[in-house]
Amino acid sequence: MDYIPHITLILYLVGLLALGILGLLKGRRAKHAEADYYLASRGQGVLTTSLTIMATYFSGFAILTFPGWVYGNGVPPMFYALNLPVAAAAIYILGNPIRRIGRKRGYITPADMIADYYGDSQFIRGMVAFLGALYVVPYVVMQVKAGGILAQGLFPDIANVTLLGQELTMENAGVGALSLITMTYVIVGGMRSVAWTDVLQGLLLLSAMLLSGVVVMHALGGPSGYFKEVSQLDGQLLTMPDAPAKFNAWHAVTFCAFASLASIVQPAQWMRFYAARDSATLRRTAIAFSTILPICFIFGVFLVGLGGRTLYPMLADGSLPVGLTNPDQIVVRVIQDLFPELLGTVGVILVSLILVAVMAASMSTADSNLHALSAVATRDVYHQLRPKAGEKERTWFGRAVIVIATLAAAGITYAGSGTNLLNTIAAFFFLAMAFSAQLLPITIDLLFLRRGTKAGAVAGLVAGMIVVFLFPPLGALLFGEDSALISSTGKLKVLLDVGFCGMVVNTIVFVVVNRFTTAPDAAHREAFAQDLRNQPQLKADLPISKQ
Amino acid sequence: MTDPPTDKLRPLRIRLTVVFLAALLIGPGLGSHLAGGDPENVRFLFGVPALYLWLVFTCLVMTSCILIAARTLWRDED
Repeated sequence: MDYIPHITLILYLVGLLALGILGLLKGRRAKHAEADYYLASRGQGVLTTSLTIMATYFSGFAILTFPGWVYGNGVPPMFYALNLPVAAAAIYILGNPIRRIGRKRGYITPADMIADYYGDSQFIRGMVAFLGALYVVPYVVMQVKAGGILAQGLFPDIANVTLLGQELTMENAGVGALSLITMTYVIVGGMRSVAWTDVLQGLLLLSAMLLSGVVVMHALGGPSGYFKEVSQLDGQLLTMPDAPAKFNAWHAVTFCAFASLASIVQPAQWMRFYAARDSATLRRTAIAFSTILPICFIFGVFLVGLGGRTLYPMLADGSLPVGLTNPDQIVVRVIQDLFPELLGTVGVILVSLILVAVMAASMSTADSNLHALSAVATRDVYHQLRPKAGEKERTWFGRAVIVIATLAAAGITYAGSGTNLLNTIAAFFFLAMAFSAQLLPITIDLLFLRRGTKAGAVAGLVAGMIVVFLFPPLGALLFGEDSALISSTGKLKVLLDVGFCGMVVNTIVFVVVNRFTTAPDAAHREAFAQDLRNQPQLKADLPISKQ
Repeated sequence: MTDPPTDKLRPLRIRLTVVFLAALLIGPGLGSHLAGGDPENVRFLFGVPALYLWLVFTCLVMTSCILIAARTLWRDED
């Protein structure tokens, strides 16, 4: 019994490495090294695309923080799950034209497409790459750190590990091991390995989310017993709070509408649209995303949070009960207590599997973002500085970026929590989606409207980014906790999603500057529109060499 | 999939968009306040908190819009 967590973890990690090697073997005969490494030769099918998009969409947040919110605040945070159908619709409505034109024009990163439309501007490419990095880098660091914390949760009885004469905490040992394994399979197989491991990780994650809800409901006497217990909870947990209370309706609406879209246009997801085999793949992915994920949340892991509140009630003064130091621990606490008691040895195995699934959630987000960071650094920075570099050289540069980024992420987390650098990265992490949301106005313009100008796009992006920087926790680092500005934006943040606030300013500036500047020429816009619509280009629009 | 004429699908596209956006706005917004009641007078339906059922209903409406769009409006073109 004591060895079950070890065996489960080893099987899981060996499985990841095996998939990484399979990805490498499959990609060896590819004609285009770069498109194969970053986009799996644009041939990913439904199973791979849907699970890699789902696994990338959710980090450890899905299975830890979300139920923790439900434990602390009841039903209202559950409404944030309505971001899932919005994201599902965006997978097809935004993703399919992105896939179509990406295939026709050979794009690999989001900046390839955006810079191409707005006049091949290096500045706008740099801006888009910078915004992508603002999303990707904090995610990599925080997910590596989360992996270490989860390793500690999987082996709570092991305080320290001795490695090469060095004594490491279990958390640091976990950070080191998970970083090494993630880095290895991302380096060897690129997108194919990342996506295939995401399939394994996604299946584990979804099963764990659903299973934990079913077991909690069973433990409380089935649906009727469960809801009988829940109905005894404080009325504030079962009704929607008025603004400005946390999880009020205003914030829920703006979060669902815009945070979901921000997650869908971040670099790793955007590249998954390029990598999809055809439109049917994205159509079926949207169907899977809109049906499977809400079920796993609403009938799965949310019920653990709410049931957890009846099993481990908070104390009268609002503090957490003994055994919980953070609401995020509720899922782990519930499964560790209930599963072995209800299911015996099978329960112990399931606890290990679910903890590994939580780890999988962190790793699947970290690997996708590492891979996307490599693409952005290679295509949007290195290739621009060294245009003569061939595909193979660029791919090797991308691998080097993965090594450096992983070592840096592990080093930052090893240096310990509470350091200024880690606190700053954590502040960026909390606003990562808000930064990514700033790409939405120009994405919608180039996909559907094509009225924007290069100057308008740059001005809008800069304005949106500045607005996000003014909100806490980043703004507090820049201007101090007590400044009047941070006090105002802090109040606004409770009411509206930060990304939405930035996007409103971004859109206004974009529209105003567009009115006074010149759009790309009509032939360029029409050619772009035709490639987006999947229509053959008029002969006159083609370059002379192709006529 | 077959490809029905675009103009015939326009009313369906508009209806689905309106229903989807209305669910997104009313679901967590006004509807949640009306459905859930207030902390002193929580509403239940079949023993289940009405706010939870309202969430399930809203999600069902939004997901149905996507399923209908995926079956009728979104074309497999390659």
